[in-house]
Formats: sequence, structure tokens, C-alpha cells
Amino acid sequence: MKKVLAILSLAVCSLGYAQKGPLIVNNYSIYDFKGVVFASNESGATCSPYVTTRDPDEIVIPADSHMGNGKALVYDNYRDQFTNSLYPTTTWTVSLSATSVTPRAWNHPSLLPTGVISANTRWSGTKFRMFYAGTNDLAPGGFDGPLVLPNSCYNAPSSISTPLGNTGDIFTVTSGATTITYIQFF
Amino acid sequence: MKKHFLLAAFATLTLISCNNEGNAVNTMESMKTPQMENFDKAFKSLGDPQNRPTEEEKKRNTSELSDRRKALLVPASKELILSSGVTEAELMRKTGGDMSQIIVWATQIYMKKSDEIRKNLKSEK
Repeated sequence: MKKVLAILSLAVCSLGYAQKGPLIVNNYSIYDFKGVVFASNESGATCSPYVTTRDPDEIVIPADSHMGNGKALVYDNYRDQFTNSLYPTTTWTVSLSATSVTPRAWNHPSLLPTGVISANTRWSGTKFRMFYAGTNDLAPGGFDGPLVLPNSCYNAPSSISTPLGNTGDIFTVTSGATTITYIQFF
Repeated sequence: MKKHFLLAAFATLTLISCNNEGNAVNTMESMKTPQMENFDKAFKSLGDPQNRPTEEEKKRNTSELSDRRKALLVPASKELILSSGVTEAELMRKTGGDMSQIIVWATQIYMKKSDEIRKNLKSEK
């Protein structure tokens, strides 16, 4: 009951944080991306609900994988990514609060595009590390970190650059009811 | 005997050459239209040093791409939309020239086209 109330109150107070379009990750760099992507609601102080990829525990987007060669990561929503994406996520972790953390399969009813979780979270960032292509050796220059849309509850940058000139960027382009979220690595 | 051997050798060569023909396979890159290619290039250009977010842009505290950087995507986006059969007048009527609308529309067209190409590539195999 408490959970239902929590969700209902979220639905009321968190307008503006809804999944309104795809997440597109372009890795133009020469390194392999390994990490997670997540969505959240940043209207409060807790960033919840918070939904992050869980299985695989790290998504691997190989070096030089982007829209240009059809190898970008494209997630339409929590569910359809499983059938449409080159990088299917089987299980998400859904956190409604610090004490309510649940693994959910990609086709769980609560994760439907029309569901309350989708209605109250937006694609908001990634935590990643870059590796030399095809290896477990970290890329040079500290090419890693969180990359998160500017908001009031994470303290993380929306763009990064390494001393060696590698960069990363997250941003949205919004048109009416559609928001496309892009994450790009160079 | 010699004849048979020659024949076999010849047949093998023919087979190899036929096999190689299949190696000139189409890829995503080779099947893209020039407009798609320019759209890719525009997105990739956001990583060029002069197109990176400026200190001022970083401080804006908004998720939305800055107008300066959106402008870098608009010409290629327009081109892509027009190449899909939309007329210039229709483009202006639907978007009012709004940069975000143009970029989102173009991205949707791009995704659809690249899905089609991927499906075609799959069915060729």
C-alpha cells in the first residue's frame, strides 16, 4: 500500500520527467565502451524512480559503433529495446526508494511504455569506462565517469574531456512531445 | 587423366571466383544515401574542438543542446528530410523552421531508413 501511495504521489509531483523518445548512444571513439545507462526522475532529492541496466551488468558498445554504421545503441523504451536494439538489456534494476530496489525483466508490466515508471523517468545518463578495443585494458587518460544530464540531484558533468583529447557528451533535443537523448563519445 | 585434372582445377577456380563475388557484400556504410552520410557527419562534427560545449554552455544547467550546436545539425537534417520526398514548403509549414523540430524529424527519418537497410542486409544473407 505504501508503495502504491509512493508511486501515485510520484505520478502527481514529477511532471516533466517522462520517457518521451529514444536514447541514442554513438561511440565514435577508438575505445570500447563498457558501462550502464540509466533513467531517473530528478525532480526530488532522491532521483527516484531510478532505472538502470542490470543484465548484462555491463553493456559493451565496441569502438566505432554509431548511427553512421548502424551500430549505435538505440533504446526506444525499457521494453522495446529488447527486441529492437543491438544491445538488448534483459533485466533492469528499478529503485523506487533506497529501500525498494527490484530487478525487473524487460517485459515486466511495470516497465511498459505506458506504465507509471516510464511516465515518471527520463533517460538521464551513463556510468562507463573505456577500454582498448577488444581488451580489458583501460583506455589512457582516464576516459571514464558518469555523464548525466544537468539536474538537481546528481553532482555529475554532462560533458567530459580527457587530457588526451577524448570527449563525451550527453544532451537532449526536444520537439513537442518528443525528446531524443543523445550520448556521444569521441 | 591429365584432362580430368585440368578440368577439376578449372572447376575449382571457377568456384573460387564465384565465391569471391559474394565478398563484395553490401554494408550499412555502402548502402547509405549521401544525405544520410551528411547527417552522420554533422553529428560526428559535434566532437570537433570548436564545436564542443563552451564554458558558458556548460553553465546553462539545461539538458537541451545549445542553439549554437543545434545550428550545426540543421543543414544536414533539412537535406535528409527533403530527400525523403518532403517539399521545402511542407518542411517549413510543419516545423516553422524550428531547429529542434527539424533535428528530431530528421533523426526519426534516419532511424527508419537505417532499420530498412539493416533488414535488407539481413534478407540478402
